[in-house]
Amino acid sequence: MIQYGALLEYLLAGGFVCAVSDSHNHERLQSEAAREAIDDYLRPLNRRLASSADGSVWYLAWRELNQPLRDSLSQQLRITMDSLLPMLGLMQLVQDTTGSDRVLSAHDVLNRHEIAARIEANPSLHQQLQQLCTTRLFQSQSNEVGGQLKLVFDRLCETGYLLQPHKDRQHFIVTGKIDYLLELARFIQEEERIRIDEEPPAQQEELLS
Amino acid sequence: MSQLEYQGEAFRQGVERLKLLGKHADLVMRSYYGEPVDELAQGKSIEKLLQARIFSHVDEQSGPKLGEPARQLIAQLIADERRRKVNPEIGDFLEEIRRLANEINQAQQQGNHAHADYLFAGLSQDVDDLNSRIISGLESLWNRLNSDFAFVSSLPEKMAENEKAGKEVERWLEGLKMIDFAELISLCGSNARLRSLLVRELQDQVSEHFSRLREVQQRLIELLARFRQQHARNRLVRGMLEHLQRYPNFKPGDYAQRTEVPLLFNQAAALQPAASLSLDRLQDGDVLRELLQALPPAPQPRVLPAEAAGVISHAEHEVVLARRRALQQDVESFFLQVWQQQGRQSALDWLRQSNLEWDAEIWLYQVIAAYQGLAAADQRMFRLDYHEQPERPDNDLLIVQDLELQVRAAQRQAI
Repeated sequence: MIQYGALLEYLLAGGFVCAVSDSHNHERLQSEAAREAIDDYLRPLNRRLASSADGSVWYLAWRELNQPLRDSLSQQLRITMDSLLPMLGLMQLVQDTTGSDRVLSAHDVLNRHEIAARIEANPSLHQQLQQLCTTRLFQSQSNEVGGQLKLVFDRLCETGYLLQPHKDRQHFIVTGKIDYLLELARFIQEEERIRIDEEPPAQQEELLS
Repeated sequence: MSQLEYQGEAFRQGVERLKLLGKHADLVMRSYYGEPVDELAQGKSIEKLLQARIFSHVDEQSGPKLGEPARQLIAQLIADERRRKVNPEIGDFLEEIRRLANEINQAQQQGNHAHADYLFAGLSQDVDDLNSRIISGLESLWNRLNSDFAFVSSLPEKMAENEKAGKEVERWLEGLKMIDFAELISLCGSNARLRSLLVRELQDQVSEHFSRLREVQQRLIELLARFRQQHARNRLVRGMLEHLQRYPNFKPGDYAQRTEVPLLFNQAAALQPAASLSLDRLQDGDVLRELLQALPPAPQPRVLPAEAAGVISHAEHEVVLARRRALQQDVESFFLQVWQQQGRQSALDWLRQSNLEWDAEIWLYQVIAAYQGLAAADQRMFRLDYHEQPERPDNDLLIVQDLELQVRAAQRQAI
């Protein structure tokens, strides 16, 4: 079990293991035997390994649930729901800022300075950021883009959505936890039958042509 | 065939029915392309076609239809045109090599070798042209693939471009399938040069084109799946964001209270691993004893008179309290480090080395306060030296420039 020591410690502290955050251990978790060994170790702690549907992110789940644990999960769900709007808002902001054709995904690299510069140059993006900074998740007292964005990125690092490989460089890598969040959003959307409108102007063009 | 058979009944019938086909060619071709035949309007002619079994009634509901043997005959007759429709490049290429191969064989039979050589050069040029056309098609496909169709900006456009490229690959694949090597072999006859070009070389090239095209096809399918997934994610983020903005009080069901809690929402609470000394490991005994001795003596519990605590006004903000606590902790760390190093240390140097942001005056004041605040037994362990200087040459007011904390010699020997 000693070879999994660091991994277990990370998981027990509530960490998410993905190919970005820890590629070595993520690789090891692909082995059924390793997972069984870890699960055996976790049994007395009433915990077990769990993963997102596509196996890209691993974390710990309760093995057996009782009422107090359920209540704590309900509480956790409320916190998650509170942060869902700012998180989705942030993903939209980054996409609008970088002009990418797709939302943030694991392995994407973000340059904070570059994003800050683009937001500064565009009042509507700045307004989006300002709005994000009024939410509980990204609460910021700062009035300028650099400070606001720094706080947002710090929060994302704390919550495990971003990784900063070099402390003195402004490059951040998106972790697999973002996929977990989107899977969660997908679940809620389907479960609550939330209608998602088909946006694309491209399809309207097709109809016209 | 003997003379007799030319006059025979079968011969006569064949000629008659071919004439029949020719006479009603228009009707036959219409039926070949699926147009229903109006039995009444056609009257006698359809009757004759039915008698000749060129047409037949397949079932009671529908009218007469062109029979299978005639269908096959027509398919053969119009094969070239059909091929050209599937893939004009390869359709034309096939027609061309058929024509050239026949002419080459003819020239050779007539002993006109120079002309045969000339025709052969043209034929091998045609083969090269086709190959290079397929290769440049492949190159263009790979370029589009490798750039993730970056020449269009939106995902729906990319998906449309991907599908367009997919059709291109399919057209080439269908086209290559039309090359019938059995036919080419018979076309080459005993001409070794033709066989080497049209059968051996072409077959290798075609099978290589096949595998490359299939590879592109596979990659296109993978990329399309990725585009679709990204498109779905884009829509999810945008849609959920709009929903949450429109309904700020939206609350989903309490999934944690369900009989089966969805795994996504079952996330175990963080557990901070705690460490403790393992007293039963005898081999660690010496290390433990050393560590224990290096620890500063536990502070004596002190009972403070009630008034010493001071009154915290309501106006005092929590932030101020937190800062005060942080300052006390930093000073405590300073004392602990001096104790651990069993040496002496300037208070201001330590402040600078530790990158702390406290104002020097506040820092010195707190160090003095902490020293004074130590219980008598603890205070005996340290000595605090004041480095003072008169404020001005003409003023004897002494200002504390720095403090030096050191562990008393007697205490050092005791350890």
